Amino acid sequence: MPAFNEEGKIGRVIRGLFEHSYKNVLVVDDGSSDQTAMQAREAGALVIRHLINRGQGAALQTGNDWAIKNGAELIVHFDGDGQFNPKDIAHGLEKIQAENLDVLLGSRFLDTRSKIPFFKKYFILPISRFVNNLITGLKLTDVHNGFRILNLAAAKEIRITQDGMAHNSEIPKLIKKLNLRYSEYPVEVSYNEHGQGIGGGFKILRDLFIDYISK
Amino acid sequence: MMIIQIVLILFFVFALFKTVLRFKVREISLSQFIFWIIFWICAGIVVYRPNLTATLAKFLGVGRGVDAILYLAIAGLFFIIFRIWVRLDKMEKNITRLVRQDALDNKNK
Repeated sequence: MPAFNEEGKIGRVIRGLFEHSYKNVLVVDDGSSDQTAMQAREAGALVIRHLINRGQGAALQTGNDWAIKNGAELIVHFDGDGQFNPKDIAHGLEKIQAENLDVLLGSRFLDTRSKIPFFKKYFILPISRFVNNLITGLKLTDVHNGFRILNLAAAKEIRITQDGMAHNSEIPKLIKKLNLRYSEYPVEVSYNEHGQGIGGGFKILRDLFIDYISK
Repeated sequence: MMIIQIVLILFFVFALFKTVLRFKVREISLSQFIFWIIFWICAGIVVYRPNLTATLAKFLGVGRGVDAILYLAIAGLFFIIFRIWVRLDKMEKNITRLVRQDALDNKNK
């Protein structure tokens, strides 16, 4: 679970996971300036810290590295701000094993539980989906969803080099390139005020562009 | 001589002086030193005798000498920005690697 300045929410999110008996919770505190790390520890999670803020993509990769090092078989990426429902994990873990997949990607569009704000649903998300499908070559219903389950093989092969939010495009790109077995499945996303607006989308495109030209 | 010429030439002399200082404390290598010295001197000459660029402009098929210099300068600047971008990106990635390694090494901090 990547977390940056989530002291108000992270405790509740972690307790939610523990209530659903997920005990191996690793929080990567991405250089928060508030009490995120302390709150997470108090809630029972294991916490490792980035000394300075490096972005969500960087935090996820650090989490993957840690999990690989410590013998994880399946890794669940779960947002620290309470947007996801811990109930959705069980079904996902079942599916990834039953169907022998490498990666399972959460999608808020595959059922009707997520109440997506109008502007986001009919304007921002369709555009970002179109651009992403173009860039990544992977047809996904929900391109910027932080709910993911990876098996060990996928975690080892997917190296997130996009430190910011562009990892959401980088991961599908790598899934396609590495020929990993993947699927989407429905997860619930509940909305709080903040999120990335259109500016965030342009920032992602810029990051991807810089990455493209510096290779 | 126009005032802009004096200002620019003074600036180039200042830059030349800075370049020498940097080289003295070995902040820049000999090849960089030579490049920048030649660069500033050429810039000074062009500003002092703008007509010299007319030949270049004619060769390139551009109307005026000043225009030719401007076009080349902008192209050069873009190239430099591109290189800085790439370097910055590399630096960012290296910082992330350091921060990550530290996080993984100090899990009980």
